[in-house]
Amino acid sequence: MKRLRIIDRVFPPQIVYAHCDVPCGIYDPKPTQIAAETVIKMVEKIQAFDNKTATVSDRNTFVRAVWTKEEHARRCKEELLVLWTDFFKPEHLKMFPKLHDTFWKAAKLCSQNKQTVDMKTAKELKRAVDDIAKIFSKAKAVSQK
Amino acid sequence: MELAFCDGDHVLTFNWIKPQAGDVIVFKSCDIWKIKRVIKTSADSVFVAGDNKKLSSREESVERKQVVGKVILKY
Repeated sequence: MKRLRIIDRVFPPQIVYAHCDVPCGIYDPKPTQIAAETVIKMVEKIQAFDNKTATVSDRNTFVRAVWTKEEHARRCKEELLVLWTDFFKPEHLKMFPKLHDTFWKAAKLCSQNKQTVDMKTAKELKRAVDDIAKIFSKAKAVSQK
Repeated sequence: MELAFCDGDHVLTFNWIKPQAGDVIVFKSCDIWKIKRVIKTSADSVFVAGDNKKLSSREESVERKQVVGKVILKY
């Protein structure tokens, strides 16, 4: 068969993989829920900040709370995208016709939580990821049958 | 794709044939080329999976335009 490798002179070979990465198959909506809960906590801390009496240390905590809210909203969006694009398959759309809309709105809420300091928006994000967690459990239960 | 295809194998593909269930195809996905076996086909897509279930557990949906070709020769 090695003789046939003369074909490579005419058609230079490309590397082909059997899978794109470590096929762990591990998906979990929990990181999105933890990130959304963190966003709520940070909004609480930022809103409780008293600018008039704040010490340097308080201001440092305030900046850290803003950074943490930003980071966890980003993390939440990233984890949502992994579930949306990697775990869910076209056949899940039959079970959950609003799947794309649900994920799209949840991802939008992540961005809104970066832009604002609003408890209502933070709680909406938590509700959205909790709904996705329920959808995920149902989809996983079906695929394990 | 073991045992059918192992590291270091060379394959030749042909893209004038529509892949059918059971065929092995090469397709573009996530900026890399992948090799998997076709499980079923639809008008716009083919569904593929690896032979080696321990290492390749996920089924994938591949649009026909992503298909590079059907494997016709291993050498």
